[in-house]
Amino acid sequence: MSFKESFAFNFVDEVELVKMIKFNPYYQKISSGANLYAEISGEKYLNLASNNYLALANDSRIIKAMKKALDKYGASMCGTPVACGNVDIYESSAEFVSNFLGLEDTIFYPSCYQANIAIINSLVKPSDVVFVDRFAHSSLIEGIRSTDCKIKPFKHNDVKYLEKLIKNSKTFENKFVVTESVFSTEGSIAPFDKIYDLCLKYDCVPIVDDSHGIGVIGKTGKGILEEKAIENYKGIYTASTGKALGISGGIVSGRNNIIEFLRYNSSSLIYSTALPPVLIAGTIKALEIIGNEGEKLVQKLAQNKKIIYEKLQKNGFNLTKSDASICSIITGSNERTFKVCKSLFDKKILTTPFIYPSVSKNKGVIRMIPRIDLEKVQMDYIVDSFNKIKQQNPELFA
Amino acid sequence: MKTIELIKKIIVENIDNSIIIENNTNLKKDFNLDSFDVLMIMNAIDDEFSISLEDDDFQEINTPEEIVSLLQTKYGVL
Repeated sequence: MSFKESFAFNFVDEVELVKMIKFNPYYQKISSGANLYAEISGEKYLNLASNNYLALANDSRIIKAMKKALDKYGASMCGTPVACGNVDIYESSAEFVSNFLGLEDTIFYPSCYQANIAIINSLVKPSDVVFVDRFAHSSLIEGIRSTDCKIKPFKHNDVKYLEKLIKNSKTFENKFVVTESVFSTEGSIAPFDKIYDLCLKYDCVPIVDDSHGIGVIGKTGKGILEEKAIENYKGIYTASTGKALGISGGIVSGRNNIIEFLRYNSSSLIYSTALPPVLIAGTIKALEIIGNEGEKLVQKLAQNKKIIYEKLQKNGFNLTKSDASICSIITGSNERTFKVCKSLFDKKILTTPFIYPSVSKNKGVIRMIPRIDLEKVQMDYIVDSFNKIKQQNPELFA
Repeated sequence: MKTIELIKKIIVENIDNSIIIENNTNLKKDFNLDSFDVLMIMNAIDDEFSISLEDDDFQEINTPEEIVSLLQTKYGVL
């Protein structure tokens, strides 16, 4: 068997499924931005797949700020931050982000995926133990697995289970607790206040990925620390700027000494071309907007979610228990998940199907982001479309 | 409690309290266990019997009775 054949062999079930239903939900060729309607093959699709929660990716104020930065700094610094990429905007922006979050210092990575792997790989040693929520994001798990440490997964959002694990782990040099704030396939929010209390009680270092929380949860959109009223946070905070903030990149914030350590010991940062200044400028403008209008934005987003979620639930659809602004319909098998996704696509609605390994086996879901720019007419159309699909194919939702 | 009953209790507590398992239930096949499920069971067994299972111990193991057999032969658990 050639390399190509053996590699493809891993995807044989999904490939057959795609052939059978004549639809591949992945890598759709989109000819527009992350607007409310995405253009595919000349047709407009209601875009519930993008994480553009607050429609900031298309906000004219952000685009203007980014154009200005592009004129000043050009497309890229063509160098690592440690060499020639540490432009002035990095330092002022780090301070801005830190103040926004209420933390001491911040560094920027090319992506949060890269940031999560990098910080865990830099901080965790083989003699350490990491307690990780069993549904944590792939980047966190990849980071943990790269360290040869002891891995102790805990039941999803189960604080009692976590405490028992910590109590039984006295022989390790350092202890870390790793979780997400908002679990993005289902929309649950971690009881991070309680997890943080355990970390303080048992001397563990908490690492929280707030990628789907920043701009979305907390009274004014400041994310998990505001949502759970955590002040003077001593742990490590990471987030993607490519979700609600509408840009691209990763931020890592925390105490001065930890961030300074990462500046000189995180190979992903040291050896990667610095995040282009244009993206930093966009991030700052997005945070400025959230800082000024956050409460209003969060409320409208939550309202959209409530409308869609409750109507679908009332019409008998099985949704994940979601506390954040995410609506996920439980579809189960890969086949049902792809078929529901295709039926929605046929009705010009773009959604994200999650199958194993993104979720547990046979626990597939169709995720929709109830973005802020949805109006009543579109929300009615979404619910109506689901009802019609269910009427025509009841077996998909049985 | 017999070792086999203890193992089944650990599995249920760590995977799903609603599942019913027999001594010869094929765990990976019947419950679609992923690598984290297996890790959670292994960690709980470590804690319960004060042993340290090796990473590849569970590679060929599928049922509760096979787990007990491994614990008895390799780790001297009675």
